[in-house]
Amino acid sequence: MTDVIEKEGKSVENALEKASNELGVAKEDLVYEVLEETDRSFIGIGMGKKVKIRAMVKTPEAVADTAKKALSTILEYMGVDAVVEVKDKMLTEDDVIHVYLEIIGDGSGLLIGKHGATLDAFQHLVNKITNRKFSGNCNIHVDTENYRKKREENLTQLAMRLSEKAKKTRKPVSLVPLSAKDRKTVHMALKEDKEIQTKSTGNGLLKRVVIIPSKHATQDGPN
Amino acid sequence: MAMKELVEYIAKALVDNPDAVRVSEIEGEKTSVIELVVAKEDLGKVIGKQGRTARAIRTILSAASTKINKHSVLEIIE
Repeated sequence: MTDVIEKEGKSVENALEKASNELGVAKEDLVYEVLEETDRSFIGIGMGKKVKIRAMVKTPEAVADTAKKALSTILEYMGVDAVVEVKDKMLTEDDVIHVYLEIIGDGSGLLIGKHGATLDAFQHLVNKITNRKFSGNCNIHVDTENYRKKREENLTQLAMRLSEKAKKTRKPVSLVPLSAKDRKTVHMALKEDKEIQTKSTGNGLLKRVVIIPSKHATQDGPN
Repeated sequence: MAMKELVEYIAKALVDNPDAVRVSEIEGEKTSVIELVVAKEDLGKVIGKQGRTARAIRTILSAASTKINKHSVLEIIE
């Protein structure tokens, strides 16, 4: 499934070229690590230089494998009885490989945490680990028990309710601090409503969305 | 349960010098202190922007500890 080969060359570039020829893919689609670097030349002419690399094709399959393994290992060390499944994997037009992982556990909520904090922690670490190995452009999504969708629905409903409140009282209504993704959900939920505007205020962990009633009338919208 | 191994695995997967990663655990009755040592140049990798990676490790550590009715504290040492 994952094609990994080891190659030697006079330079990294040279070894990569050999790997790219043998695997039949462009150099740009390879990720590699340097295993050995020996330099036996005297005045640096580069004659005796030898570099050994391990190269691997950067495919959605390889990325998904790495991400799944990282998450499974973390869960195993946590003593959690759960299985990780790759729900989807794809390369999008902007050259990003997306992998959707799902944890199938006992449904206790332990893996979700308060407002998804534990799930977000898994996602953050698996992204870090995978992107390190594949030098970036990988986006790993981690979900369990359909939590992401449920959270989005709940936030959308909350946003609707609070926007009604803002309109009725004609005063800004502020939400509790939310993650970037959750704030986006709120902004998107109220995007079409011309009677109110949404803004983010605060910094870092304390960033929150404020719903502001539009000053004048309803027809024209903002500005 | 393997809190020490959990932190060790995550740390090694994040840094450039996995061989420099040292993890020790001081176990108390209710609370365990896990000390993580990484190479100086890898400190940023285990802490992350605005401490995000360190927070993620702590979140996972506390979830794992909750499971066995314990508390774990993570100390990151240079």
